[in-house]
Amino acid sequence: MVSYIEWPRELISPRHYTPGFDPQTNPQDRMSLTGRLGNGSAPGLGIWRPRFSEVPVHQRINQSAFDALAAQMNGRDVHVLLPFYHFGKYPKGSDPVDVGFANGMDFDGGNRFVSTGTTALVAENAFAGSTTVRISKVACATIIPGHAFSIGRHLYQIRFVDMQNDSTAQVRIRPELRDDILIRDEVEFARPWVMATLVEGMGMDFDQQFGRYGTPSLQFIENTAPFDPDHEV
Amino acid sequence: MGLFTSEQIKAISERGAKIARAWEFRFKSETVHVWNGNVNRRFGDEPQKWIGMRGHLQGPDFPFSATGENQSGFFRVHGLPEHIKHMMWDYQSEVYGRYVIEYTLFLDGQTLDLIGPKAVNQIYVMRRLRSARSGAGLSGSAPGYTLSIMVASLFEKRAEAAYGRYTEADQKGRYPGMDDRIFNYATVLARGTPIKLI
Repeated sequence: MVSYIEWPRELISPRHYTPGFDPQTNPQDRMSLTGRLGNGSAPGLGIWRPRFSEVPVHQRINQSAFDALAAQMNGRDVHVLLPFYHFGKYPKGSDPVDVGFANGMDFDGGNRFVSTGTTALVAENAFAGSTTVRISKVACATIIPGHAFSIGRHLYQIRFVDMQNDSTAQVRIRPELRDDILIRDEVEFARPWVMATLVEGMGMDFDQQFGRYGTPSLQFIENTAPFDPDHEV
Repeated sequence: MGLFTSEQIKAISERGAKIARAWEFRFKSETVHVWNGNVNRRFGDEPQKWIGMRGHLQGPDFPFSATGENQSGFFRVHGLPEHIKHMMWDYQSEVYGRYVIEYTLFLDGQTLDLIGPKAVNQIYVMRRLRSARSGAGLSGSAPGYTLSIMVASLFEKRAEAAYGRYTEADQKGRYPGMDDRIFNYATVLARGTPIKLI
């Protein structure tokens, strides 16, 4: 039916958000999709474990949307594309604007495209497993350590900036590249996301007070596998 | 020459090298390359990609025996049904007597680049394939599937029972009709002194 679900960020957003980057430095505490690793360690430079704390769910606002989401995710069956909340901390080129078609027309009903105002592209091919990315800045401000971006459905955070000018930047990232990247792949700073899976199968099941409202907390873990569009659940 | 190259020693002492394990499964119909990391990637200049097992694979942990004794262990793949259901095959002939080559890799702690050569750590002989399913728990844990491959070390032949013994009865079984009594004296020859019968 579906291969993944985009988290409805306008409808269901958490009160508190933890990006949850686990640097995998403590060999006893490494989590994989199945929980604790029996093998002692997975050699790597980190894995994302986003946490949504106290997601307000209310009958009059979004309870039906939350129920539909829980039903479609069906535990851990379907992966979700989670937003990364940067709270305005990203190399903003210009404000996001709504734009129409080139001839001035809009969609039926008045809907328009969203232009994020920030554009960056991959400037050099790199293989999965490497930690250096060269970025071509098309419409992008100064990149600083701590900024996060996504390429494809994988999320990375900038650790060092080796070199930067108005047109290009070379950065070191954590975690290592999950997949090969190609020239002109989009480096998404404005709306980064990460493909993730619920840690607990019953994580979306929450205490509903009088059946009307509640504030569940959700723990996710990054799905490190390359995106497979043919994977359907 | 030591066990490690000077480049590897420098990386271990100064740069916090990470140790990875990689396995080459030589199944009958194909060879599969996997390692225990999170990324499907190449190491060095190799053409093939190694599939990251992302914590799904648990490898055997017995060391290479210094005394030549055989040990057995398991490769276990745990995971969600969707992730490994395509691996739930059951062809014993794919694994029986085939080799698994295990490599030890030193990766740079900062860049995860391979340092020095890939060293062969151990060679296993696959003995058996088995898949099992465990049910869901009341706590909400998902049902799990496990695919396990039993392996023995390269010394597995030594663990097998010897064929026959050096006794006269066994020798008569091997060569019927031959009047050969030398194995009556095998114990005497082995001890060096005759057993005195009273």
